[in-house]
Amino acid sequence: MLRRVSSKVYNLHSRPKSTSAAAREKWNLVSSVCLQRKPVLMKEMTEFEKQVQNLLHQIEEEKSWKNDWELAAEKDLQEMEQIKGGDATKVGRKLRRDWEDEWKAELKAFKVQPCITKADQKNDIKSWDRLLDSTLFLVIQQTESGNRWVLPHGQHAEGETMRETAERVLKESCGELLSAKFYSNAPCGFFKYKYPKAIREKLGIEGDKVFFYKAYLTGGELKPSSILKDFKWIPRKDLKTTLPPEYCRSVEMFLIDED
Amino acid sequence: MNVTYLLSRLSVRALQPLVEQNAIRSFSLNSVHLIKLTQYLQGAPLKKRVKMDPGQIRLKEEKRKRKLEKEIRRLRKFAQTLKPIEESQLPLHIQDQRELEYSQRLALDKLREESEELYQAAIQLDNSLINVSIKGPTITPPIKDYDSPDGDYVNTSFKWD
Repeated sequence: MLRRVSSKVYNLHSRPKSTSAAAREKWNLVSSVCLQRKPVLMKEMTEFEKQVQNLLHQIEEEKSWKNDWELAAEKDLQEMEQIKGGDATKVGRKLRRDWEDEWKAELKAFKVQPCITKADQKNDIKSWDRLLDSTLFLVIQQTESGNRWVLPHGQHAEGETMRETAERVLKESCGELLSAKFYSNAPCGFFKYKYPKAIREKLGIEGDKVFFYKAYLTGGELKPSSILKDFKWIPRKDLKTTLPPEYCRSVEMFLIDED
Repeated sequence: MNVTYLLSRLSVRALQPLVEQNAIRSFSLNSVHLIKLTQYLQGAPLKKRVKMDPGQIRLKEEKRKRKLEKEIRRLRKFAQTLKPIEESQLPLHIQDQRELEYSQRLALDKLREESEELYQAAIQLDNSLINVSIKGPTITPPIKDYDSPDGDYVNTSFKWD
C-alpha cells in the first residue's frame, strides 16, 4: 500500500519533467509520399470464377426476350425462303445476317493491346508500364540515405503544411511533369527514425519523424532529379524484401492487402 | 420426512400459542390443536457464546467492507463493456483493416504533439477530392494514342432547294 502511494507521488513529480524533456528534444519533421500506380488490368479469373461467369451468362441469355434486331433477323430468314420460292421482288437485299458477319469480321480484325508490355518482357523495373494487374510502388534511393531503399521524402519547411511538403517533395525528386493525386490532407502513417549517437550530438537533433502520404499516379513522366540516386517500381509483395524491416512495418500498416 | 422434525417445525408457528391456550380450551376442531408437545422436544442445550475482541470485530467489519467495495469496483469496471453480440460485430477480415485506421490516428496524434497548427491543417477537408473520378481496371489495357472512330454521320435535315 505504502509503496503504491509513493510510486504515485513519484509519477506526479516525474510527469512534467518528462514532457519538458520531450519539448527540448528536437525532431526533424519529414513528409514522405507513397506513390502508387494503381492496377490497369483486372486480375485474371480463376477456373472456377470463369465457370460461374459462363453459367450466369447462360442463365441470362436463356431467360431474356428477343430484341427487335433478332426478330427482324428471323423475318429476314423467312424472306430468304420466299426468294428461294421464286419471289423476284426480294432479290438483292442485304440481310441482317450479312451485317452481323461483317461486324464480326471487323471485331476480329481489331487488335487489342497485349497485357504483357515491353517493360514486362525486358523486366524494366524503372518503368511503371508493367505488371498491369497489380499495384506498383515507387521506391527510391537517395544519396543522403545511403543504400537504403525508401519512399520519396523530404524535410518540412517553415510556412507549409505537411501535405504541401509531400507535394513539393514529389515534384523535387520526380520532376514537374509527373502528375499524381493525393488521397487526403491527413497523413496515413507514421515512422520515427532516430539518428546514430554521433550525429545526434553533432546536430542536436534526435531524428526524423516521418509522416506518410498516399498518392496515386495519374500520368505524366518521371524525370529523376539529382537527389535521386536510383529508383524503381515494385509490386506490393516485393516491399518486404526491399525496404528496411521496421520501416516496412510502418508502411505496410497503411496499405491494403491485394490478395 | 422425520416426524420429530415436522413437529419441531410446527411448534414454531402454530403450537407455541397452543401451550398457553391449552388451559382454557380443552378441545378444538382444528387437528393441529390436538397435538401436544412435551417440554423435552423443544429443549436444546445452550451454546456457549464466544466473546469477541472489539478490535477484531472492527477488523472483520473492515475486511467485509473492503471486499464489497472491491466487488462494486469490479462491477463498475465491467459495466462499460457490453456483452458482445455476434451478429452485430464486424467480421474478422474487416477488423484487420482497423490497422489502417490505427496508423492514421497514430500519425495525426504524433503530428499534434509536434505542432497544433500543422495538425489543424491536416484534418481539413480536401475539397479537390469531391469531383474525383477513377476509371477502374479493364480487361485489356488501353491502346496508347488511340483515336476512337466517331462513326458515320448522315445529315437527315430537309434541304429546301
